[in-house]
Amino acid sequence: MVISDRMTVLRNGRLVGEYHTAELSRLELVSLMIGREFGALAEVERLAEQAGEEAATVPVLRATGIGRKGSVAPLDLQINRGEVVGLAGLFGSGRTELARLLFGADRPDSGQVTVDGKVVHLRNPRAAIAAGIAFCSEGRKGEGVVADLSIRDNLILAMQAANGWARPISRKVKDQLVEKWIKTLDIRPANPDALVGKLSGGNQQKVLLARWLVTEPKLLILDEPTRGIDIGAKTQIQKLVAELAQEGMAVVYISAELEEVVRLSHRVVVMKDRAKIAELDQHATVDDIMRLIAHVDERSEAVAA
Amino acid sequence: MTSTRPLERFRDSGLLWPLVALVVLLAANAVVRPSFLALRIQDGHLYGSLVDILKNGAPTMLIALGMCLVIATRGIDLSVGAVVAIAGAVTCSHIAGAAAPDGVGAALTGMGIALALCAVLGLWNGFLVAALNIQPIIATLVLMMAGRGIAMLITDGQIITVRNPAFRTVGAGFLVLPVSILIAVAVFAFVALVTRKTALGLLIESVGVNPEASRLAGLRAGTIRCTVYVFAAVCAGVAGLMISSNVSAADANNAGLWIEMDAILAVVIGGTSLAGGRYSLTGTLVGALIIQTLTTTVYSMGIAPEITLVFKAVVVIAVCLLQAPKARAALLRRTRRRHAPPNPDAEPAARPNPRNQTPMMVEKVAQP
Amino acid sequence: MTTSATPVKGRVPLGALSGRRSIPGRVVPVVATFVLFVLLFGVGTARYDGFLSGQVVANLFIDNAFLIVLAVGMTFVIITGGIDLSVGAVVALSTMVAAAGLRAGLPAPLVVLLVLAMGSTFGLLMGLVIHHFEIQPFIVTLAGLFLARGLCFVVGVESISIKGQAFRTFATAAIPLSGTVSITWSVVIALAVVAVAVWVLHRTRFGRTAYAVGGNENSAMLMGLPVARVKVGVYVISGLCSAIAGLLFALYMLSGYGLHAVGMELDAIASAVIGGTLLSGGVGYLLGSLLGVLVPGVIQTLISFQGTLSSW
Repeated sequence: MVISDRMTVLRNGRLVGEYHTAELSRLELVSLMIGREFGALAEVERLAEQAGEEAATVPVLRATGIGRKGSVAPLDLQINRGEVVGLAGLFGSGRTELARLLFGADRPDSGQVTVDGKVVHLRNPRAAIAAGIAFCSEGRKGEGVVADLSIRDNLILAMQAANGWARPISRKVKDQLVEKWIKTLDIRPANPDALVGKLSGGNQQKVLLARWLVTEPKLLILDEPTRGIDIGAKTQIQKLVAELAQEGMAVVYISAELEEVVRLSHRVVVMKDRAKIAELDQHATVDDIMRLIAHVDERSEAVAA
Repeated sequence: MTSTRPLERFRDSGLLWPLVALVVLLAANAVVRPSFLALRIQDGHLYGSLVDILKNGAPTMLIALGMCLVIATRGIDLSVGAVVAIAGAVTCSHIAGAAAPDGVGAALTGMGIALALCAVLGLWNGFLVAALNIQPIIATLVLMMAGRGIAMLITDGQIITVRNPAFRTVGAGFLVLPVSILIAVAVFAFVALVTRKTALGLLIESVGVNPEASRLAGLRAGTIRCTVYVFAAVCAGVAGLMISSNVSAADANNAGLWIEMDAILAVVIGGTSLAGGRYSLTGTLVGALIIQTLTTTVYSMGIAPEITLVFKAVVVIAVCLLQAPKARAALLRRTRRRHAPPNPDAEPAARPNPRNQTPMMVEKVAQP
Repeated sequence: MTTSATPVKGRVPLGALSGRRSIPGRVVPVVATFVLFVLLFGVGTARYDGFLSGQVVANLFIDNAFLIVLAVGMTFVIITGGIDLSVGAVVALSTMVAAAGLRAGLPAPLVVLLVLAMGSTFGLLMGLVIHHFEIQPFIVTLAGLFLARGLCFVVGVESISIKGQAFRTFATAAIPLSGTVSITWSVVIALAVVAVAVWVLHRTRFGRTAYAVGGNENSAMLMGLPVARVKVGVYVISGLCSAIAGLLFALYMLSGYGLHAVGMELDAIASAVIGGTLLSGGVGYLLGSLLGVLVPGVIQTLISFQGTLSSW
């Protein structure tokens, strides 16, 4: 909006119109881009607040002193039932690394994690999954979807892996699950046999989300779920997260878009230089977080000087 | 891509061109030598050129089956030829050294020891690939180079000949059809059943397409990769038993020489991409039959043995070109006999993924 | 130019420089191979008298000259993410054509040119098929292996010995480096090939493109690099190197035979990989491949020293 003089808006392969940038407000642009889905963002906010009021203080996951050398400095973290905890920080601040530790994708070398009061050894993803933790990686293509498999196969992959190879999920159950989630998440094309590699980024992300929701996790870790996808899918995913939290799921939400983090989260953990530097409550604003990150910067620079 | 009409689904499955190649080869044989297709029953055994092709192709088929699963996980196993030699060497030296060299017991224990050893060798390959993360082509190269040496050690550098009727059954026996054919078919049926009726096929494909995503989805990627190498080695072991049983001898130097290349060719001709992922067991079977028919053709057509390899190379290239969507498109454009309806899937999309050299090929292969 | 296509707010490329594939990391395998080489040599020196002599090192080069040239060609191919299984067979075919040509009375320079042209053409054809029909290199070059071996037997089933006097003199001529150490022309040729190859790989647009293609063919194409030319070109180089190696091998064996150099393609691949070239492409050094040839060579020398001692 800073650069262009004129803008052409396209939606679902159709021309919506061409507008002079000066005459178009940001709000109008968004509403043109997502069509009648506008207002969903407002609903996300409403849902998130509602859930915040009801947020229980039953801890789902409690980590003490969890860390890994060269990756994340030991830190404490508690995530409660029905709560969305945002992880904010700059790129390279350790937010992704922390998420990977919580899922056992990298093995933590210090600290202890309890899920529902029981000690869990996060040796590998299987252990985390068995404990009811799910993780959508930020590398959607590289570490997320299996491109050459169909939507159906991708959806049931985590569930099948948990079941073991000898107990295949029956065709009937598969079809029910697939139908349900394609509908719920509005995955397009709605053809279960379509190869995931041919889907748009947003739809791939939805398939990935559905893969984990099928396993009915207690804790869902989302690393950059809205990066590089269209604005319609972004709103859909945020709305889904808010709804899931309302139903009682604990969510860890990582995004570089601080507005998103603030809008959705009940608590925000701020990361900086591979360590946790602060924990803010629901009323935190983007400015608060920015100031925290910048403030420490100034201080460390002062020390350095 | 997913049509309901069986004919189109068949065309999309990627089996069409290998089958066409096989039929053309068989037809060429039948034209040159009309007795080629004849079958006769003698003493309750079935004889004929077609049976010979199946019988001689059984070891390649078995090894190709194992190789197919290995390739599906993005691996490759170069050591199968060496394993063939070791299996034969172990069995024959055990039988030769047994108290009763012509007894059933000696044959059974010999084969049992051989197969167990093959499983261990497969485990070694799997360990190198899955646990130490060595590139499969290098990891299995180790055993390929060392394997024949091991076989030589076992046989003391001699060709061991044995006379054991029970052992001879495996490679040369008859049960209406040659026993080796029955074994190959049984293994094929077993693999097809296990991969289709359980989730193993899906998990193998998933590991082959995206190992890291599979790990994060909770798959035991390492275990799966290791298992396919063990399976491939055991298949190679059984093939080794067939080969040495057929001639009642163990030849450490020449048994199964270059059979790994034949097996890889069979898998690829059958439409499985070396980039891993989607695989086709039926295609692999057809591929193995094409290769064996080729060898038989060379003999039956009286082609000079000097140019056997040239002939083989030409046919392999032809089959691969027929399969490559790009080559086919070029061919269609060139001939332009009748206007074929434009098939959006056959048009190679501008997606040259270096990791996945022939994406279209991968996609076109149906599940087994 | 190559930053992420989706600008994300608040994402400062702090970590952009601390990538896992830093330059020193790539050199580590080469250094490791060198250390291994020195270690093995040290073992030999400690255990056997006369191991640490110039001639042992010179022999290492003399006995492996052809393999060095092969490994150079293979390194180019592997850096682009391909593989060439046909090299051993092309070596055999080259020895066969050279021997047959000399027997037919053709002048030696013409035979050499013929062999080089044949090798390059062979590589060119495979490269064209690989690139334009998108068939996997493994399969195309495997078919190339069959074809070249087959052609050997078309030329002749028996081994043909090379009797040309000029050829023989050239093969056995020793170039004294010092009082006690001498090498053959093969070594000179092999080292010249390495030098030219290093220049091509590191100092020309072709070489840089080869790395780019191996790293990510798609982005190389989007950057406007001549991907097609390089992808086909590396197979031509490999074919040419195989032909040169074939000539050196003919000098070494003084005969042409269809069963020469069986399995040598695997030696060449192993050398490249030992030297730190990744089969997935994009990473590799020629110097590493040279060391990759010498390490197994030292092991062989150790074994032969052991052998002569125990049989003594």
